[in-house]
Amino acid sequence: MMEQVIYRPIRELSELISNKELSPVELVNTFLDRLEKLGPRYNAVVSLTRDRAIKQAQKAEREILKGAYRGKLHGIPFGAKDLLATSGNIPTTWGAEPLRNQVFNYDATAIVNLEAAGAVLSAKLAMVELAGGMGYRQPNAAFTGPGVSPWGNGMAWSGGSSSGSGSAVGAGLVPFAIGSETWGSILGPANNCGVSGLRPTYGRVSRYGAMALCWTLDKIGPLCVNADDCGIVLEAMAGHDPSDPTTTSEKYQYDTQDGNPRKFRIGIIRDVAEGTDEAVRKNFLESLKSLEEIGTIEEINLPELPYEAVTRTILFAEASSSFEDFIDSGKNMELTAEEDRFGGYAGLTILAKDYIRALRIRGMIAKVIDQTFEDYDVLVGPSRPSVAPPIEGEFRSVIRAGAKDLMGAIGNGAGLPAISVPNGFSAEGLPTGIQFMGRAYAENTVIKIARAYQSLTKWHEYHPEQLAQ
Amino acid sequence: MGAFNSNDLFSMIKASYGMRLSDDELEEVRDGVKRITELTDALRSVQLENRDEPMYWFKPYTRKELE
Repeated sequence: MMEQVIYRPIRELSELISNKELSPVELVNTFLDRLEKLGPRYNAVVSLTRDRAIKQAQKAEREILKGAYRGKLHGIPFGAKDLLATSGNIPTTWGAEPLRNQVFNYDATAIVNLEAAGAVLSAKLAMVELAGGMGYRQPNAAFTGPGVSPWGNGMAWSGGSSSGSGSAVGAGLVPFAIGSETWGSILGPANNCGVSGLRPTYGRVSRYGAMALCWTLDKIGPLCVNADDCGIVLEAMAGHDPSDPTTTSEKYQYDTQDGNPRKFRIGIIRDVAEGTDEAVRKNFLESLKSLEEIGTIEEINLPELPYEAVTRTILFAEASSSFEDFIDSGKNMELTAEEDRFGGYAGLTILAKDYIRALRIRGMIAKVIDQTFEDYDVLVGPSRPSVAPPIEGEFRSVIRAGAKDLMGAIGNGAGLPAISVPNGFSAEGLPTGIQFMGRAYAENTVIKIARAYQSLTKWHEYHPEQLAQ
Repeated sequence: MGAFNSNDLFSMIKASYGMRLSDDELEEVRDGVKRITELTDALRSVQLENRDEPMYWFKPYTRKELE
């Protein structure tokens, strides 16, 4: 059975399940076994939720046999980043050694919504400690060890902070996973692990029950084998939640129609690929050639504004408040990465007036970028400036300003949706990605163009040979 | 005049947490504080008007509305 289901998109698995050709119990057992056997190779799993998964799968099977099919996620296993609270004495560790035994007595809304759609929680997935809020600069920044990409023969980093979510999907350990992004934490692992990752608009998915890193930057979103699946999962997760007043009341309905063939209007911020690795730049330019088949491409200039400084200031200020008590308690000294033990102190010096100044400029940026989307459906750029770095040693961090990430700064600062999909490989066989970023609440547009791109290319269908067999 | 420089801010951290940190770690913190002040200096390149409000709105709370 394994050969039939590994790396198959949710859309295909769901068809088999709804036609009663595939048993949810067998499906879940297949992925549980894979998570157990292969998860340690990628440092991808914190907790296997076997009992809960089997109960849910049995329930799904009973319902489907009775004709009560709930929809495309019914009976589909998934993993959740270990910053989403889960009840039932399942630890929620936030990736941090001093919190290994932390438990909650409720489930995060994102998980409640997915389970209501019939999806089966099978594992809590590894993540960078405190979602990278202490300024880590090496892959080995979690008590589970460095996240390992399924590409690169065990030597390449999965990316962070949703490290386990990226590698679990990339290694075929789950059909989809949930991650979160404050700045780069979905798009980065999607890039490094060769999968599709969607960062929704801020407020599209409830943050209730998720570890708060930055209240005005945190977004929860899916990592899947293709863009289409991201839309399916987002529809189930999204929605207003009284427990998170920042959630939008606008209902999200995934639009699967490609509509009449038309040209997308694609903008590229001038010099957006400047300073990227050779393979990243080369693959990005190749992608643009493909995109010319479905759209018009224009280079654009944005007004001079301190985009990266604004998002970084907000990130450091809010993270310092989120973890002030943690730092004061001295628990930060028990974190895995040495730099995380002292990395939280500098942010404590951000003055209130500077944080508020950043929020005032954020308003200007939001208007400037929204105006830009009057003329373009999406802005496009490389997902990351480099391929996955080695699991040992330091990497260039965009959070610490070691690398430029203008689209990440704008997209996260203004709360805009973006999707990263694979667009090729480096000479060493490491994946690269391309991102499509859209106007606030325009997830359907970014998914639509990513789907169109994936219909022209096959990069999302490449999987590590030894894992696909 | 009136602005804190990175040494002032570093001294505040050193006074509160210095006992926990080695000399090398304190130097890392000093660098981190310097980077923070560079960030906030960059924010001052933008001329703001009095009417430019922070993008963070306060909304009076009632349980009724949330329900």
